[in-house]
Amino acid sequence: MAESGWKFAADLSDLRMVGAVDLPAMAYTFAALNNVVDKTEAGDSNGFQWQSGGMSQVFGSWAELRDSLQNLLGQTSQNLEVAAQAVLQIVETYAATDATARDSLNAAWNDGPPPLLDGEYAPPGPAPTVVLKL
Amino acid sequence: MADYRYHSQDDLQKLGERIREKAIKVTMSQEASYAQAQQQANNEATRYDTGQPTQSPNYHRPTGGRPDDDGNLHAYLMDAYQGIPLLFTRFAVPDPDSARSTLDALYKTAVTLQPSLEIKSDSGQLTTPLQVGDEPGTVPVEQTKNIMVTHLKQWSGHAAESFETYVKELETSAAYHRQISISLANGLEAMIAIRKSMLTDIWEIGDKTYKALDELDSWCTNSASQAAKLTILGALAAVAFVVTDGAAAVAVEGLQSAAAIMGAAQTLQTASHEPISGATVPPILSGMAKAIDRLQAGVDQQEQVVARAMQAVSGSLDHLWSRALLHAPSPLTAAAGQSRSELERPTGFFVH
Repeated sequence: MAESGWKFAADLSDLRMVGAVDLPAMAYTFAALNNVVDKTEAGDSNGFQWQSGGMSQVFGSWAELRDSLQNLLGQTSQNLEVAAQAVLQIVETYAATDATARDSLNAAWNDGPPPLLDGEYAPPGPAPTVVLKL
Repeated sequence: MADYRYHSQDDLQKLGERIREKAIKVTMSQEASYAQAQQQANNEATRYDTGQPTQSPNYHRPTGGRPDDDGNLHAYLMDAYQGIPLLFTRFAVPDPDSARSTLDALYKTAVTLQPSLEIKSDSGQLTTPLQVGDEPGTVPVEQTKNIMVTHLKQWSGHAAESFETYVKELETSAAYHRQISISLANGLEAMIAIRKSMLTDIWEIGDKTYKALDELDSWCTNSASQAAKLTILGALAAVAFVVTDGAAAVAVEGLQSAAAIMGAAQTLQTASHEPISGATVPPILSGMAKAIDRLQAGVDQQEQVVARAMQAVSGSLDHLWSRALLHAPSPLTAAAGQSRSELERPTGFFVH
């Protein structure tokens, strides 16, 4: 027999936590780190410039690796947001077919997420805008 | 480096100018150097007059008097030694310690991705966490992964299982990102060490050259003997690279480590001593030039090690890209557009 009612709402709430809290928190993390790495570009001359002109022979390969890391962090964040939206869509699909579960779920989320688990964190806001290097 | 001090482009220019002025002064005052310079000035005038290339690229033929009289000799020396400051300023770089903010950012990235990261400090002791701390507003990847797995425990179906696998593999991809961040930090630490060693050595060369010229300038000696100690070839070997260690480190299979590559390329080098000596000014300046060439070669050699390490890490990353960058699994994204009855099939996403 398919899940339904308030018991099902509990499971839907768990899934909604993943889509509305945990995945966005991870997306925020990777986007924030993408920005941290992006900002290092402003300091490139400090470590690699020759004041007579040009950059060290190391710079090209170092910057290429840095830009790869920046893109990995940024695209990981974007992919996490895609996953979060997919999970939330699944929650909504189920909630739309079960009025009791939907009402119970919405009541539990009326004032925001239910109490977080120990060690679980909500993101402080929307993920920072990701900066990708071409 | 205990005796390191930053020398700016301006400092190096002034050092070169002091040496140039001293070289001219000693040439004009020391009998043997003066005689040698007169010979050179006459030879240059002859070359110029017969259409041959002069040895000094800055040579100007005197318009009056003998090429080797006092006034023309001084002008000849000014031309001949004009390029000395450039020999020093070509090593001018921004203060290497100004790169610390980039280092902090890279270490912060590594620690954020793995807060329990154990990192070897300079003393070889394991230390956690790094002084930089993690980025505000971020969450620990491993801990959040574990929480998501807890939330998903009632959910089943192929889409749910692929999603759970994706969540678990986030920890592995974060480990790759962490290792790349540390390799970048190690590469930058290496550059800082090379540049500090280079600045120390060029200053040492200048200092010993001036001392040698000063010895000749003394009334009681007729030769000078100095040696410049060069540390450049030991620059990388002296760096205590940050590496991950301990049970908290997640294996990053297949991804090269810059620290391991740079460490393997080095053998402990003792400092070389380059002679800067002679009975007249020209061999002293020749010794200086050779020491500078030796330093440049050392810088190039050390930088090539770092460049190769960075290339090796990038090369290994190319083969691991699909593990370092995870995409939301297609069974999950497909499930997002399905009806309840489709979600409750074995391929779907349902409560078991």
